[in-house]
Amino acid sequence: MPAFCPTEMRTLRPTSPHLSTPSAGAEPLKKKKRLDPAILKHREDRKRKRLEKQIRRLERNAKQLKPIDELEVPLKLIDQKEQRTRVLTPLSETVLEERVLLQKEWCQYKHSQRMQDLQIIDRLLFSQQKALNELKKESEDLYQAAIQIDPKLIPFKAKGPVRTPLINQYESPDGEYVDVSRKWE
Amino acid sequence: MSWHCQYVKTTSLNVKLPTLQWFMKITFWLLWRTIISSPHFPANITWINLLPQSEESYILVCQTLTDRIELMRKKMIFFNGYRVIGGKLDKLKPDIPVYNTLNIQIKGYDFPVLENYQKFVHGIAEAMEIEVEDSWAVPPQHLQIQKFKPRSSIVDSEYKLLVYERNVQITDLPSTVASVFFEVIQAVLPEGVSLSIHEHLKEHDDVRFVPDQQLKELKTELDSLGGPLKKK
Repeated sequence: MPAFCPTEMRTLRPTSPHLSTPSAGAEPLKKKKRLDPAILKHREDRKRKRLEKQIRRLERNAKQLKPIDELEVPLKLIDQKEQRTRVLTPLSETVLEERVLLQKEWCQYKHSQRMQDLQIIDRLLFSQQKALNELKKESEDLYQAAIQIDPKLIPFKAKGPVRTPLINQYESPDGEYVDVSRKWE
Repeated sequence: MSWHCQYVKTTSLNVKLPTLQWFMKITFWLLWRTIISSPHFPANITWINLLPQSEESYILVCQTLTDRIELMRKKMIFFNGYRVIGGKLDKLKPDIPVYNTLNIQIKGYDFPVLENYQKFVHGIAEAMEIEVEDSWAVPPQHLQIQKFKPRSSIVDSEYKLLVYERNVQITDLPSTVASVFFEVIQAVLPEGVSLSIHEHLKEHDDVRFVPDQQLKELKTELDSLGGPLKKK
């Protein structure tokens, strides 16, 4: 019997398909699945629905208002409250009565001021109404024109008065206004 | 002759008929009950002293009572917030054109003055029977003001000031009342306070709230996938 070397046999044996060339090891090409686009679309739709549901849930929850600096008490003061409160001697009855009477006088004064303001407003509105009635009697067209909304009125801007009058030929100093407010992004 | 009936002489029979006074008394009491049972009847007023003493005054009282019931009915409709369309109640429609929702925005450097002014504006609007829908505050704008030395850009001094803001929202403002209202507000403007009246937009609402990061991320993700699904 002829002696044979195993290595020789190895070279003579046919090699397994996936070792020689890449294409030689490929499986026969399968047919592309027709259901694929439908399934993909289904998956995408499901994802979208989930996202939309989450968005709706977040939007439904009450949004947080931005905190307003001037209305918040600094925590340091709240902690120091006991230190800061004063223990005063109680006031005598005469002083208390005086204060109450003063308050009442002030109330009456402010009330009369308010009544005067309201009377002025009433007079203005009354005279306006009277004028409009007279205008209506005169001509309906003019009345309708007078009643219309003034479109130029609405972005209405006004500034309060200034304490000192304008200085002639005043050279204002150079400078810059930089907005350093907190950005909420 | 009794109060309730009088004998009417007919050719054949003497018939008892209820008199006119009796009818007036019944109508009066019916109206009286409706007024007392309505929710807008002020509970602390006693009307007992105002009961009419004679027959003629019953008629007058009935007329005034029907007017009052009409007024109360109109008021109830306004209070409930709806207006009946068509029919007699169409006359309640305002003939004067009305502005959209307006925002009165007040800004100033001094916030006690600003708050007082806002209170005043609100009070004046209520007094002029303008509907004030809402009023809110917005966090202040921090300004760092740098003053330069003359003819250079070396900072001479720096100031940090806050511009506070308050808003009052107004709806259903008739055009005639608007001119008077704006004049009154302008007349009372304190120094250093600036006023701006404009229509209410969604941005003005959004400025008040903290933007939600999660919501933004989700929305960008949704956009990348191709926009929200169309509802069938």
